[in-house]
Amino acid sequence: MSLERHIEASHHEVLDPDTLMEEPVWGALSELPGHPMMWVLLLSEFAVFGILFLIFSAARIREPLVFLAGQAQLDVTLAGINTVILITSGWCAALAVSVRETGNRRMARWLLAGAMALGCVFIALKVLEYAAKAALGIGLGNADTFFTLYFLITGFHLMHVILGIVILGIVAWHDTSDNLRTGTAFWHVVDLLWIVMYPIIYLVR
Amino acid sequence: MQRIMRGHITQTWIILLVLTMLTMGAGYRSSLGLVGDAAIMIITLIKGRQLLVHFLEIRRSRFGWLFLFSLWLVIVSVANWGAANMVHFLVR
Repeated sequence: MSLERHIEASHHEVLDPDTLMEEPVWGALSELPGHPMMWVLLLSEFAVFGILFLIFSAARIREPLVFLAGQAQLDVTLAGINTVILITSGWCAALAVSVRETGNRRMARWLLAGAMALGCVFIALKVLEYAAKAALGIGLGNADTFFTLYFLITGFHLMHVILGIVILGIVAWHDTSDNLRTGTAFWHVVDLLWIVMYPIIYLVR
Repeated sequence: MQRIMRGHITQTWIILLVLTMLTMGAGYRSSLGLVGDAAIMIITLIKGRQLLVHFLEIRRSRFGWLFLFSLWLVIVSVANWGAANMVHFLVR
């Protein structure tokens, strides 16, 4: 091969979009389910919520009585029902991925719709919970350390539930198997964060 | 569909529901003590691990993602258990 042809072939190889697509540029992230870019976001969520949970624990040590009094005013039943709802929603989302991989797009969409509907129920119950706190005179304006962290952590999580429903809607519309894995990965992490948050904020005293 | 409904995803969902029911009752008590709180956090670790493996499908890999996420669960759970039980001793 002449030098010119070799250089031309090298350029062609470098610029070929198919070759570029096949390169494992994501490293460790490519081992996770769904698109690696979603995992860049999700890993930051693990970091942020991890820090928030540790701050909650540290504040609990500093003000034990404030935390005991605050927890006594929480609605454990409502939070438990919300846990069941999110777990069931995650079950629908996981089934949707399995069903989509068998080629049944219609059923996968129904299951995603079920997951989104349950997410909406979670939001409604959370709003009821906040309303009950407001009726007791507990709001962000007059919150102590416990309720400041309670509103911050559960409110931040609630924003993720809302975003998760939007993401599930998008992947239900653009319903490739890979998109479903990406969208449901976000939903499962939101579910996992609640599973951890529930005992930390509501149960362990 | 029936095969999937009977598969590991539904089995995981049932396990998660049962474990959630077990912990819900604990919330009505003022304090469970060291062992009770530890039991709650261990159940939470089991739930988290079930979700990671069967819903998220995080597998054992050379980069150790399952280990890292499990470690995250352990750190936040142990920190909370320790903090809550320090409260328990101080109040007594």
